[in-house]
Order: sequence, then structure tokens, then C-alpha cells
Amino acid sequence: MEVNSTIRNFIMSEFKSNIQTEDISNDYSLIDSGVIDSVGIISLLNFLEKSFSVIISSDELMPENFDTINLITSFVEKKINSK
Amino acid sequence: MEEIIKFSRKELNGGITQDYVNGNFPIEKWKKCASMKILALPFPEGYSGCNADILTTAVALKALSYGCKDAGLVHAVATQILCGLQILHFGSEKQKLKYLPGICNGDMVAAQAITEPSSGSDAFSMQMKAINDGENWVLNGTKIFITNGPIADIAIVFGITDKKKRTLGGISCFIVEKDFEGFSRSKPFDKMGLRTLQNGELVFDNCIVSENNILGNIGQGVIIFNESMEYEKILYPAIHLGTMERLFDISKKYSTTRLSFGQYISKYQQISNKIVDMKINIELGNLILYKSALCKDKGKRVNLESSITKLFVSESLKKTCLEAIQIHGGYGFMTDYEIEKDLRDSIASTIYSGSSEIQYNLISRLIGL
Repeated sequence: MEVNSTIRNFIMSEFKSNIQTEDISNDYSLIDSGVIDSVGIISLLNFLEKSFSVIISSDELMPENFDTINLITSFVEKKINSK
Repeated sequence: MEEIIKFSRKELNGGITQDYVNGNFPIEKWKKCASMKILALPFPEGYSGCNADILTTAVALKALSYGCKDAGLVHAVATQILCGLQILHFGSEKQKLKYLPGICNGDMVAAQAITEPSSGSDAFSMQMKAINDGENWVLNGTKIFITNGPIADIAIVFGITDKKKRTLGGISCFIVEKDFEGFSRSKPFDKMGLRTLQNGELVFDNCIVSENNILGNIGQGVIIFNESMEYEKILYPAIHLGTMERLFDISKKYSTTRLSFGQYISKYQQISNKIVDMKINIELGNLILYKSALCKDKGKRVNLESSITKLFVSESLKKTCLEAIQIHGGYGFMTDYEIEKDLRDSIASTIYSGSSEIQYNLISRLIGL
């Protein structure tokens, strides 16, 4: 839950100007809606690597891993558990 | 690195003026760079590479640029390496075996095609379409200013595969070979600098690309682009720093041998300050370059560091070229001294690979502003 809320807080503050509604669900598509843009993905990756001490490799940089808060959470949790 | 400087001075500096005036690509010198294994530096031995890390590759390119006065050739070499790195990091094993040996030995010239007539720094407003016809991908659109484009045997091409998904997830990357149906290359453009570097238009008119030539996965284009830009913003500044160090050395030497009003001009603070500024920019540029390269070698993300490197070094390069001309006075303005050529070559450095204005925007976003 802590991972999920940390990611949610970051997305809600970092991409505030791209979010058109007051709140978004954990299954809201961040890519289709344009919340995470081409520069935003860099900020997100930097944040995830620093906050959770994980390294995300090139072959993991799939849009599918970053499309919703839940998908990002489960991706990060897998990374943490495999350390 | 002394070997690369010696090699560059001996093998790469003859006949530059003629090639420069005519805008010819120095193919024989390209082959010499390949024989010296410079094109092969960061690639694994299994693909005919040298297994060098990014720091070593950057330092080697800096040495090449210090010794070789043809910045166009050096840029062509760096572009080749950048394209190879994208295939190395995102390509299938089959693609690596097919393309990397040719990239390493110089038999295959590679280009990266992102910019379009109506989208430069705003790269992802591209119009290039790639539509799946059930069997293959059909590419339609035009890419412009593509480095190595007119002589490219392969091009790494970015196009929209899903308009609804916008940039992230909607852009994909393809490896297009020169003989693919519907693909054509323009003649090289005439430019104010980097004249031996071949830049031109690539046209895709119902160009057929098979599934085997998708680089990475469908929708991964922006991620490939971001990763590639990190390398680009390390390797191009490395070659700029080589030029800056050469200009520093010749300016220092000139200032300590040129007499004016009875003393060497280096004794005047107006001149010595310029040379000191050159030195400061070189030292600081090297530090941020090495930091970026070392972090990259450790598998860290270096968007922030590489953007700072690119911005600082490319702006410093232009200043260094201008000051070198000023220090040399009238001689600096003459083509025989070749410093004015370095200035013309430097102008594009704050435009390509994301202009200085874009680097400011990126850095601002990345530091949370």
C-alpha cells in the first residue's frame, strides 16, 4: 500500500497540469489520457529508481508497465521483491 | 588515447579543404576509422566490437576530435555508434547479428530518423505513419536533416503506430534498409558548417517493413528515443570537448608567441582571461561529461546529467571558437588558419540533439520546477 500511495502522490503532484479531473483511479490510463508525456516518463523513472532503490533496465521500459498507478505499483513491487 | 590522436593527425587531416568545399563524404577516411576499430568501440566482441564502456568510448571520440579537424567525419562516426547502441540495447539477437558487425566494420552506414519538416525539437509531434496491413508495416512520411541519411544503408525510423495513445505507447521504431520498397534518400543538403557530414531527407512512400524489422516492441519508440538521447548527449559533447581542447592549445601557443606593443599578447589580461575561460569550460565540461558517462556505465539513468552536459558543452564550444578567432585576430578570420571552420562547424551544436532552449526546459522539468 505504501508503494502505491507514494507513486500516486508523485503522479498527482508531478503531472498535476496534465490531469483534467480532480482525482484519478488507480486503473486510470495515464498513457491514453496523456498524463505521462515523453518527458514525464523520464521524471517518473528517475523518481521510481531513487525512491525504491531499483534499477529499471531498457527491456523493462514497456508502456504496459507504466500505464496505470496499479501497473506501476505491481512493476515496482516485483522489482523490490526480486532484489 | 595518444594513439588515436596520432592516427587522426596522420590519416585524417589530408585533403580536408577540398572535401569541405565540395561537401564530400570522406569515405576512405571513414574506412580508416573503421580499421582503427573506432566505430566498434562500445559493442561486444561477439558482434565484432571492442567491448569498451561508454566512458572509454567518449574519451576516444574526444581524442578523435582533438586530432581530426574534419568535424563532419567525427560526427558521422558518433552517429554510427549511436545507431548501433540502439540496436544493441533494443534489438533482437537476430537484428544484432545482422546489423552490428556491419556497423562496427564500417561496411554499413547507419542513420537515425526522427526530425520531420514540421517537427524539430518537438520531436513527438511527428506525422510519420506506420500502419499494420495485417502482414507488414507500411510507412508513409518524410524525415529531414537526417545525419548520414543520404549515404545510409540502414535507418532507425520513428513513426506513429497508434495515434490514440499519443507519444508514450503510440510511437514505434523500425529498422529500414536502403533497398526496401518505397524508401528513398535525397542528395545531401548544402550547409554552413559540418560540410562533409551528409544530411538529407528520407522519404517513405508506402515503404514496406516486416515484423522482423521492428526495433524493440511496438509502442516503445519514446523509450528508445529517450535512452538514445542519453548516449547522444554524452558522445556529441565528447567530440565538442576534443575541438575545444585543440582550440585551447593553439590559442595558448599563439598568444605566447605573438608580440604586440613589445610583449606577448598572453601578458595582456584581455587575452589571458579568454584563454583562462577556455580552460575553465574544458575542465568543467570534462567533469560533467565523465560523470554522465560513468553513471551510464553503472546502469543509472542520466537524463539530467546528460542534458546539463549537452547544454554546457555545446554553448561553451561556440564561445571557445569565437574567442579563438578573436585571439588570432585577422589570421583567425582567414580560412587558412582553419579556426573559422571550427566556428561554422560549432553553430549547429546548440541546435541538434535538442536545442539549448529545449535542454533548459528538460532540466527545469527534471529538477522539479
